[in-house]
Amino acid sequence: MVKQHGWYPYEFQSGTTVAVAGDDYVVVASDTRLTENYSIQSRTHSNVYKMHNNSLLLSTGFLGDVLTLKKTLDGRIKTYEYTHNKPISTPALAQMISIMMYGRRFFPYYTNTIITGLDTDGKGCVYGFDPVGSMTQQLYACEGSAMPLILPILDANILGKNTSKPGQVKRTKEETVKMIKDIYMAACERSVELGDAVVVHTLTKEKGIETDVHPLRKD
Amino acid sequence: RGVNTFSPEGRLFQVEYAIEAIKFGTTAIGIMTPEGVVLATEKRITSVLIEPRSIEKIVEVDAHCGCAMSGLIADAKTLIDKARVEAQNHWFTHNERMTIESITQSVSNMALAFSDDSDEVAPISRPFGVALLFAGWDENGPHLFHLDPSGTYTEYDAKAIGSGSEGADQTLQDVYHKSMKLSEACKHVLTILKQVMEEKLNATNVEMATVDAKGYRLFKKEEIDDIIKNM
Repeated sequence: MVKQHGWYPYEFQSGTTVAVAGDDYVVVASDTRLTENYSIQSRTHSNVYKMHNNSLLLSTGFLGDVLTLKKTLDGRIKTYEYTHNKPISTPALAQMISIMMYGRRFFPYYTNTIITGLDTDGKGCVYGFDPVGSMTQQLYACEGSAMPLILPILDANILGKNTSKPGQVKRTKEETVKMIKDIYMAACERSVELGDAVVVHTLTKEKGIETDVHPLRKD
Repeated sequence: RGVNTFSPEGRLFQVEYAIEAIKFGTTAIGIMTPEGVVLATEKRITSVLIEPRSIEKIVEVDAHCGCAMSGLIADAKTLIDKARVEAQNHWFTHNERMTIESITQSVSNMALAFSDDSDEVAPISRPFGVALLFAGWDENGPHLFHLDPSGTYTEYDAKAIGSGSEGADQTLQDVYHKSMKLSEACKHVLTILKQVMEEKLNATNVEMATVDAKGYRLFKKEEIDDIIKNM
């Protein structure tokens, strides 16, 4: 008889994140519901973390690993700044995250991570990672429990994929924020793990990070 | 009394003796211009039977950084290796070029890590008897750094090290100006080397390299010949 494990090192705690890169901005969003199976652990937990170099880290999965990854990165970012006398750029941080996560190839950080920011030319950039650090630079990214609902909508709205009108649709940051809020409102109707509120942050060079909280259904 | 303890007058003798060793080394000169940095060294070929190409006193540290040395050349191998590994580690972890100052700083950490106490976890028994000139081009433009056995590193517009450094430094002060062209600087380093070298300067008994926005490049014999002809 196969015995069930009494203890498992990971939890799957919900959370859905979205990031969209623009020519001179980046918009990121996260719902604020934290669950474990069918229990709600928090209605006010955002999956967006502000890093010391003005990058925004989005991370869902196992909260213990999310927080530890964030803490370790905080330390590494400060060390970089003190050693090299300059803030770490988002592309350099992305590479570092990839190397760090692969360092735990045989006991991974159970996280779906996205790092976003403005690159050295001021252009928005979004980097997505799998739990062992496989890194890709993307125009937009979506991770988390409602990803299967939301990602196809982003494909259709941003790149016109699988629609009757293919081709990229460029949006201003305000239009992007509106699109993301609408998408979260639609998705939370069909997912038990998505709800409570969506936090939307817009990062630009001039204004830094602007935050907007939009309530969602609580059921 | 250990080698890394202070004397009553507050001096570290081993470090001072190491700096003395460089005064007998071959001369190396570096000049920084807005277009790039040039390095030149005398090879000091002591016998006609020596293969000149085997004497290497200017080396590449990374695509955007080169290094000239003076003093105990064998000691430099360890330092250059450290510089190369650090630069590649940085590229591996951060996908970006390491700044010239950061490369120099990472090498300077080795300078005072010596001890004659077998209980200490020190890798070497004496300081490195070599001075280095790091020349490179990073996101802040061209840089020239001087590193000596004490681990002190300083950024210079122009610097000479080795036996002819006193005279060369003086001439550099007279001829240097901030808007110098790289081609002009190339002529100046060879002219100054010619003044301080004992042998007659030719394309096989000197080495030259430049680092500009396109990267590090070691000069071929023919290129050095061209510059000598126009001197």
